[in-house]
Amino acid sequence: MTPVLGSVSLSLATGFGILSVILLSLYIRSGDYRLFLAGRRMAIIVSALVIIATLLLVKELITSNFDVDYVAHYTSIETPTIYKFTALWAGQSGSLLFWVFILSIYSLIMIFQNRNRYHRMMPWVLCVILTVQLFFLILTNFITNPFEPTNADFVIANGLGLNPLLQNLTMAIHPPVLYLGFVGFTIPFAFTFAALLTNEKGSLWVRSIRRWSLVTWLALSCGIILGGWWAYQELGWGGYWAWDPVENASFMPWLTGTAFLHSIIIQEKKNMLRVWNTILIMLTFALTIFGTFLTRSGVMSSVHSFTESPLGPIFLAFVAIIVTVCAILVFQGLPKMKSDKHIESLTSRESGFLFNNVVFVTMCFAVFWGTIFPVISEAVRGTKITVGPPFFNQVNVPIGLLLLMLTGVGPLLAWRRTSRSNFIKYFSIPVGLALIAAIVFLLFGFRGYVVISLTLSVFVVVAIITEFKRGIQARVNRFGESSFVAFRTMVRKNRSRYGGYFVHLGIVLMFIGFTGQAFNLKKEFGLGINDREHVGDINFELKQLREEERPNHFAWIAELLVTGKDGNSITTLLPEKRIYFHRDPNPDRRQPHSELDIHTTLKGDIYSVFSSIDTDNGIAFFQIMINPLVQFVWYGGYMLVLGTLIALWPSKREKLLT
Amino acid sequence: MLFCLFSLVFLYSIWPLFKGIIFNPSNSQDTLDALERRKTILYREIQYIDAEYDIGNLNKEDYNLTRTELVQETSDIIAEIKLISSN
Amino acid sequence: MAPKNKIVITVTGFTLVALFWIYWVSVNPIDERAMVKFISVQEILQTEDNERVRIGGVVADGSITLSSTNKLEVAFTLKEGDSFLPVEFIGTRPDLFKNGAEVIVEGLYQEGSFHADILQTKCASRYEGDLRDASSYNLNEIEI
Repeated sequence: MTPVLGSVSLSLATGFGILSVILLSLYIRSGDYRLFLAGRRMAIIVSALVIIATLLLVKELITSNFDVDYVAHYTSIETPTIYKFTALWAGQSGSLLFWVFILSIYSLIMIFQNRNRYHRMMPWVLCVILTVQLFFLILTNFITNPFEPTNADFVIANGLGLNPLLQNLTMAIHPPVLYLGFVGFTIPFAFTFAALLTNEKGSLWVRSIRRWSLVTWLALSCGIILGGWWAYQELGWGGYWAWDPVENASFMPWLTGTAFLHSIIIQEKKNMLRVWNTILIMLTFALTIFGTFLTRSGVMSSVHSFTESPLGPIFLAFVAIIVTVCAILVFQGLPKMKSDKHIESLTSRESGFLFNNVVFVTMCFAVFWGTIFPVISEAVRGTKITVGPPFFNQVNVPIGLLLLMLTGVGPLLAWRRTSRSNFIKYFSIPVGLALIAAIVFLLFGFRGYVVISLTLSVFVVVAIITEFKRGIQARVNRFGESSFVAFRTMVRKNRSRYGGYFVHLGIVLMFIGFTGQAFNLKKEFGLGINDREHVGDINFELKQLREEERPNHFAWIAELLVTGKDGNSITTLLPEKRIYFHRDPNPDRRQPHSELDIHTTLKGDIYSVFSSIDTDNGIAFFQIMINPLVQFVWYGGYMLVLGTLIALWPSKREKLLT
Repeated sequence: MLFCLFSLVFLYSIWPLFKGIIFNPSNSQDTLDALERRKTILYREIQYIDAEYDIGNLNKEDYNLTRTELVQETSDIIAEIKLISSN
Repeated sequence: MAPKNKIVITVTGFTLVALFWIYWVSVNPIDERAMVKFISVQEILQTEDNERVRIGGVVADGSITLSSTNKLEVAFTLKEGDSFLPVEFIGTRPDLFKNGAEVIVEGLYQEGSFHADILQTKCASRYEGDLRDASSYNLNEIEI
């Protein structure tokens, strides 16, 4: 019964969605306000039905109704309840439903927030959101229905179960966080689209969507960082970013979204760069749909992908329609959007923002190019080329460093134009200190990108500190406050800017972490009991090999004593080799799993993987990696979240305005 | 039962269509609201550039120019609000 | 020069340089692993060039043999359609590597055998199993 109800709510949602779009279009033509009210109510019903359908699917998953194909595929009786719940986004049809579920929640919030506002734009905004909802509803109704019954002529006693790799709390929350980010860009897109069509001139709506974009951006950033963290902790190849097409799929909208967050400030404050912002948000939205396509259609051979399905062409067609419609609209709207103001000087903060944007978009293009290169080369030359991480690293390192530099330059530039004397005054200290740091790094024996990256990090940090200092100084001079009070009031009065600087500091920390990769060491070897081996100047000795049978798996546990150069004990690592389903008579159905162990310090991580075991000779094989400075990436992540929260923290005045 | 529920929901959604013609608030209400908020933003913006000037993120000439522009826009908006609300 | 033109020129200049850079890296990758041809088993058996390639296929049933001295050393046969290719690999094998697993290998083909230095597995067939296949369901026979 419940699956039928779920299917019915999805179909009804589609029906109401179509009706709503029709009513709203009629309203746009006739201006009869009653049509708008009815259309809006229907939009609310669409969202409510989607939410009901999702809850029904959750109910089926939790109660293990294996008559539903999806439930039987992704859960089993043994699956812990929490992972039964997270199976909602483990598979294709469930994750598509989850996509439109989040969009529906966003849509309800948006409708409620703006119930008495933007009367001219609202019908268009609703139409855009409804169209996106309808697209996903059609997919879940007709292409991959999550409520599809199992096509078996026997009673299904148990389902297939969730991949153990996905049975991890980080992995459980990573996709929904990422989706919150992906889906959220639909709202600013809808507003921009509506503003373009209604030729809305004011900058008020820009304010509203800036907050939306920031929340969305935070979710997307968290999703990306969590994904990296999960890969590092679980996958056992010692890294956090592999330039996998699916990772790129989330990174590309992040890049354009970040660019948008920067340039929207200029539009809000100066009413400039409107065309540019419109293009950016459209690009970001198209990239989120494209990203969902990459993740869910399986065109790219990648660990994340699903098997081939008819979804690919449909998604691609949708992306093509979005791009075409947007391109036509922007082109037609060009004359109307032209601003009467221009950037006045190359050395102004405005142009700093513009350059940051150009660099972000360039990086996005580089990633896009690398991601779709295999497909293009297959289509054009007939040979499939796979593009590996070295390509992405080589292309993106200089672009990334340029971005890092701009992070420091931006805050030192004045609005409108920077006079020569101020230019010298503001740049001399950061540049001077950075140069001194560079010499020190060179003396330490660092070379190449490492020196550039660390030097720029010093430059950016000093630049941000001087910017804080100037702000505090100004308040101390004008209001006679103490430095601490001045600091607090300053941040409070302009949360988005100073929160932004905290985010920048987070990015610097991340860059320091990335730079650490240049010093990574990696070695694979076998050890008998009491044998030792060294990686760099760190020694590893196998003390003991234990066996243990646990409720759902069998484990070999290695006890590795780690000692430093002078024989001082650093730690004992306990990596494990596990076999899940170890009682299965068919050896091919047993599932090995390496549980790694990491010793973490600020200086670097010692990363151990128990690769395999030779039980006859009592030899265990390990993969050991020394990864300097990795922790800085995560610290940078915390800093980024903190900074964004500062920027988002509601103030009394903000409430009046949004 | 389900059918009744569906009919109720459907009726709810098309209910507004049967009311008399409703005054479309999209024009003056929207404008007034927008003007009020624009005014608040402008007040803030003036405070903001004062602070920016103190910090040194804006040189004297540009500061004076920007401030004059902002003050001018604010007074225009106040005048407009007065005009609309007196009607 | 008007500042507006200056900005337009700088932005255009930067964009051109950046596009050239992306193009240049695509053509002259610093690392042979940056861009690797993906070919079929059949193609590699016919080819003569000794260049780095990537191949996908299934591990032929019962072909996995571990070296007796070094458990990191493995030899197996990669099957794609009706073509078979002997593969050697030294290193940590992914957890999902086993008979019948879908794998991707990357390396050089020399003297009748493929020397891989990258071995990746695709999704576990267990979890992508076809539910219409009755054997997928019979998990209840195992006590867990």
